[in-house]
Amino acid sequence: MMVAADRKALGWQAWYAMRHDRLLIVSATLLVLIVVAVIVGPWLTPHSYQTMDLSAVLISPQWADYRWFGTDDLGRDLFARVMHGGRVSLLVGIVSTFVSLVVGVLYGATAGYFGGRVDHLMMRFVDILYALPFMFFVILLMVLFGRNILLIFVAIGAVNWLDMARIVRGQTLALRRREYVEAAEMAGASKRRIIFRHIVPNLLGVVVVYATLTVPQVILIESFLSFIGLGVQEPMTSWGALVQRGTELMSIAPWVLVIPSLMLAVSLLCLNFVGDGLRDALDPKDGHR
Amino acid sequence: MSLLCVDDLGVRFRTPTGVIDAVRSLSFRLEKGESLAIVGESGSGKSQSMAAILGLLAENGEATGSVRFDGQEILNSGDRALRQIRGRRISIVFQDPMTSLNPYLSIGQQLSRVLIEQRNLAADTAQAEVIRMLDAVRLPAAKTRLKSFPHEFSGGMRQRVLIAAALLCRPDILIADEPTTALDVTVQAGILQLLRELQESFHTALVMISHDLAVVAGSSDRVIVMDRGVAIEEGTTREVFSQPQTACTQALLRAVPRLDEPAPVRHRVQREERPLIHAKQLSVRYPMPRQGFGRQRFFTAVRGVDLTLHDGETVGVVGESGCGKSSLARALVNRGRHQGDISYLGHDLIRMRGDELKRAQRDLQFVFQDPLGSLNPRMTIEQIIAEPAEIHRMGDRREIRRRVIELLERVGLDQTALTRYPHEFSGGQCQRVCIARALMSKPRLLVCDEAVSALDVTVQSSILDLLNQLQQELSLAILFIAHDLAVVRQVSDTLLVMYLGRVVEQGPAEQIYRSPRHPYTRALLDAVPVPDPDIERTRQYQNEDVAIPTPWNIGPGCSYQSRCPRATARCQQERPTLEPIDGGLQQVACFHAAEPVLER
Repeated sequence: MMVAADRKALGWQAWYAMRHDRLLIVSATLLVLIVVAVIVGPWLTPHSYQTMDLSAVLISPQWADYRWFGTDDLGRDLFARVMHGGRVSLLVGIVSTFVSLVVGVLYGATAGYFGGRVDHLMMRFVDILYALPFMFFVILLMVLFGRNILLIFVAIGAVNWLDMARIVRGQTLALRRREYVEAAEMAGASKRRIIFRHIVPNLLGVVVVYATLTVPQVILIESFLSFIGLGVQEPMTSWGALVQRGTELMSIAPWVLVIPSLMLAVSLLCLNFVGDGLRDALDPKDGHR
Repeated sequence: MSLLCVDDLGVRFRTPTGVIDAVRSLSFRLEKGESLAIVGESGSGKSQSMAAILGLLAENGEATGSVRFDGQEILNSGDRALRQIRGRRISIVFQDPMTSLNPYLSIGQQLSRVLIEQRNLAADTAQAEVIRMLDAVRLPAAKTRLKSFPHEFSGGMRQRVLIAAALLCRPDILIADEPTTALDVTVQAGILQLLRELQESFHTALVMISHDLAVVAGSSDRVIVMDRGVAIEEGTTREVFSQPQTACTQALLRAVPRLDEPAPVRHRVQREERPLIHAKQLSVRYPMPRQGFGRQRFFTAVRGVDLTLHDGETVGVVGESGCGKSSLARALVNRGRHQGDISYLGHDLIRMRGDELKRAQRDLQFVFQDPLGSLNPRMTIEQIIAEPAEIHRMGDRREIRRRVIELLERVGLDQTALTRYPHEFSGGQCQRVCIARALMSKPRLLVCDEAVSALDVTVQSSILDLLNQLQQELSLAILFIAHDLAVVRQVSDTLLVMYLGRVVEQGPAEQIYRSPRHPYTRALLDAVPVPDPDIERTRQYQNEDVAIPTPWNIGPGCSYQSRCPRATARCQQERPTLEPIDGGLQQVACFHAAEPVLER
């Protein structure tokens, strides 16, 4: 239904819609708090994330001596480790997602828009990469380049863009038949212009949602890699590695499991809510349903 | 006691930007077996009031007032109570016959399920009843088509199936919400007549909702006219049509283009001798999906059409859907898979490449049927209109902006539109934006592919006026494509009538409207409804239950012979070609064209 609308730019409209979405506001605030905490956290505590102190093994969380989150079985300060691990996990999640997003959107939109033989070739290439076992790929990279945290980004990004490309291609196939795309073609617009001005902006909704779903997925993949010893190496850590360690100490020191798990779970939940909220807010039609 | 008493019905929607009153204090009575029409522009609340009565409002809507059906209050009475009434005692037929049917179930399954669930019939009795009902709506060979799926039917046939589904439980009230808006005129005429006859034979009360007064003229006893949520006029059909009281009703009546009145005088622009665009033996064919390793087969949409357009001239193309008129339009702006010759100002358009093609594209612009769909939802109106100028590098930013504003005003929108998005505008306003965009690159030819078909009648006439004015000022050539002959008549100098990819009649528009020589043209003209209850009521439209050949199995003879009342043995063997008639400009492809002029 048409409603007389006030004149607002897309950004303003998105902001307007977001202000009224309580879930989005709560999750976004929490997420920002977590990000700020993992950035400044390590400076707040006098303890280092890597110093072992065998006189302070498995201290439960307390105010005394700044042991807010307690210590682990090697006497390392858990607060410092959780903050440090958060940096690694979030960085891996965001950077890898961003890489797969850029590559996937461009690749998928190109394949979908050109269609025909180009599409066929590009998508068969994706299929071939899909068939490659992920672990084999990671081990191959490790063998070739040695252990490096950068390799984790590359490995995860290289796998995740495949999903993104497939989703984007499917959407593009539908968008390409839209009359506004045809109108642009008839006006003589170049293919580049059509892809960047008419197709990519209209993919935004799907892409944003998929990206926010990818971030948690990537964080989980990273913790899995760390678990089997291919990810971050001690004394460096990540939330996934901390959780893994925590499960071993679950019965004697539950806080070693609970605290990093909680951080991981809350962040992932918030990311999902933010994704949903963003999709609704970025839809220009949304304020008028 | 009336069958349905609606008192002080109000419908409001809560939206993020505030509360909208969609319907305000609507009251009416509906008697048994009566036929009521509710007419109004889109957004006037006619559909929403029916949705409220049936409890089908969207989640953010609420209804107030009172609705008594058979003496019992049903408004807001809850889903469970309403389910006893919906489908069983009050049925509804929607506008789009495709989306109302489940594509995964056969017609027989879908229809008998209604009976099994609503009337607890056994499967075989239900099926027998379904066949009876499909016969009643004159679905040809109903028995054999029970196993067919919705996509195997044409739009008109699907609408018949839906009407049958709605009548299965013998409801007291049948609501038809724009039942013919998505259909061709010829099909529309058949459906309207069917509704009229069924209402009489089943003694059902009929509520017909439409934006077009002409559509309801023949089938309603009383008319309610709605405007912005309020019923502004109510009366018997004859009263409302002969003495409309309010300005709004008068405007609605005036907006309907009438074939039984003289056409508006068109001021011809001085015509140059050299044609702007000239197409010869133009054909369009699409590859069909290959079956296994079989030979590639083609579906031919346009078969050898000749067409000439001069500056300042409008050529109208009419025909039913699927006759190839859109393919022809696309071919003319060099889109799609076409063969033949198109000469644009003496140059071969089909073989143009690179810059030369881009220059030609500037001159040939297109306006689509769906105004909202042809505007990118993520671009502002300014970006949309400016785009062609950016593509063709027509001046710097300031200059482009100045021209955007100028064009916006020219098409009747103001500057506040610049920063807004397409979805904030109505269909008519969006179509104005599309026209402004098309004019941005200063074209010489404007192709309007069903450009007004999706719009309300009143909006339709204002867009047609705009096109006429623009043509006068800019001496544009316009190729105007529509399935509605009354609309085409308002703008056209020359007319082409197409059937299954071929032109069957062409010539000066007025001459064809005065004396149509091809039986198909005649059938099209006859099908156009007239906003006059006296004419509509008495008219008998022949229901064409014949199989229309699909474009890939046309026999050797005249393609129209399967529907033609004059068909002879010769028509089955030989294909007639376009021949001038009366030594004039009118050309007809019919062996019987010389026989006495078909009466109008």
